[in-house]
Amino acid sequence: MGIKLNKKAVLFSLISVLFSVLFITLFSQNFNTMYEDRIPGSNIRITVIDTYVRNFETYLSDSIKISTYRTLDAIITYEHNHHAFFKDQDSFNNAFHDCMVYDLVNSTDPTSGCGLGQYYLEARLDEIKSLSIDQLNINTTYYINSVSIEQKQAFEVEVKVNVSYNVTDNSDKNYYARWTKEIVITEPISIIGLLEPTGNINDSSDMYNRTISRYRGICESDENMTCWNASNRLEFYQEKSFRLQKDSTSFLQRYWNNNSPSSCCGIETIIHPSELPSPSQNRSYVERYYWNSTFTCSNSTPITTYLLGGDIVSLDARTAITFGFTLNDSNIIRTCP
Amino acid sequence: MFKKFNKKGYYFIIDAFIGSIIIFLSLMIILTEGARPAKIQYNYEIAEEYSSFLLNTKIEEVYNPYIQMLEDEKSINVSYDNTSLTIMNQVNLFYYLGGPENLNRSRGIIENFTEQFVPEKYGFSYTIINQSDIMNTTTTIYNRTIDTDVNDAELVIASKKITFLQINSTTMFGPAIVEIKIWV
Repeated sequence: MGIKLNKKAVLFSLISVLFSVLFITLFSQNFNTMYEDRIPGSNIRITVIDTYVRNFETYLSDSIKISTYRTLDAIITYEHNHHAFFKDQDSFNNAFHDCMVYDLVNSTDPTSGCGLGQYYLEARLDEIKSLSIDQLNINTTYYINSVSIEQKQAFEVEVKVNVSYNVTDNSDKNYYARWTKEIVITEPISIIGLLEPTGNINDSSDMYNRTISRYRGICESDENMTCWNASNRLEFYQEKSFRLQKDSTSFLQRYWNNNSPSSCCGIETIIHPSELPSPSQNRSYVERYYWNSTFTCSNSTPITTYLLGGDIVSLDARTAITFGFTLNDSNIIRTCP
Repeated sequence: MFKKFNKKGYYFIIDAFIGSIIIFLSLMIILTEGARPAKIQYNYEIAEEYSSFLLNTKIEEVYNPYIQMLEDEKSINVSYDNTSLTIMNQVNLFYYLGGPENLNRSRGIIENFTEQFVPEKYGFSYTIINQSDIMNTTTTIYNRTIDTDVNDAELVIASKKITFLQINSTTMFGPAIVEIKIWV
């Protein structure tokens, strides 16, 4: 009935069972050792460094935003203190780069401090570099390849920073991973709250401290030239805000006193006489016209002086028409020439 | 019509079947042993994953009664204009703003999330090490002590993250270190 077993076959079966037990014992230990060695030592370490790298780029972006804003502010102060504009855009760009990266208006002159404190870009990056080595045992090296700034919107500038960086594990086992990357970070930075450069640099009395704020009324855009009336022009005047004006100059152009119109980014405001050390009714109070004496009673454009919100304000003909003043306006005090 | 099977054939089929079972079981045991995380690794993963959760998860992405309460009382987003802050950033912001009330809010946020995500058997602490501060301050925001104090624990796992927060156009908090410790 039963199968008669071959003795050799039984022997082979037993040997296979023994080998299986042997392999189970050997491999289960080896595999576990290999796994333990690999997971805590490398995978987790890689995760930590990877998180740091992601954080580093976010930190870089945030640092760029703050450094840019502070640099724009610091350069106005520098120009104000020297009572001089940069001679052209290139001079401004160089100063912006050196100030933002090294806290120097001119990187070749160590005495040309820009006054950014610990907020210049190298200081910000050195801080995270130092923290990463002290606390995470991660080594970071970086190089700022270029910095550029331009304006595409009236109330914001766009800064572009090209940075190369290298992140490695600082332990002996630096074969875990190495991050080498070159990135270009582009950040839009609002100019709201910054000093208006033209007047601030021109005014040596420190009375004019108008900061950029945006007028948000219905006549916000200069395309609505017919919408101004006594009510909203008073609101605009009293807000001390800036409105879009394509014939006007952009915020950045004011750093090198370029008065050519900027179709994308021109802005203008009307100065209050209380902001001026010795207000002259012979000049238009539109800020760029006032400081550059573009329209005065001594040239051919008529300057009309109005009563606006209790103040005596002079305006050139183009601006007066734009803001809805008429020739027979009851608020006219005088006209010249 | 049908071939008459050789009796030895049955034996070899059964033998092969037994062999297959042995190989299969062997592989199962080996792979199961390998995949089971070591105890230290498991604990490390808890600390690391929890700190990553706090670092990366935005306030607006979670529903938590305590967060809801802070939103209702306008404590969140009063001084910072959105809900896109991560949990860790919100804790940083309260820490940065300072004062007992804000530190309590920081503690409350961490306590609420920790109760939900970190098993009760673990001790837990959340500390901000602010080296950029002149005083080089170390502030423990939340500490959950179980039976064993952290100094007497058999196993302490720490996960550190670099943290920072842009406060406004000109000011930044950090970079600072957030250290999360769990222990048993």
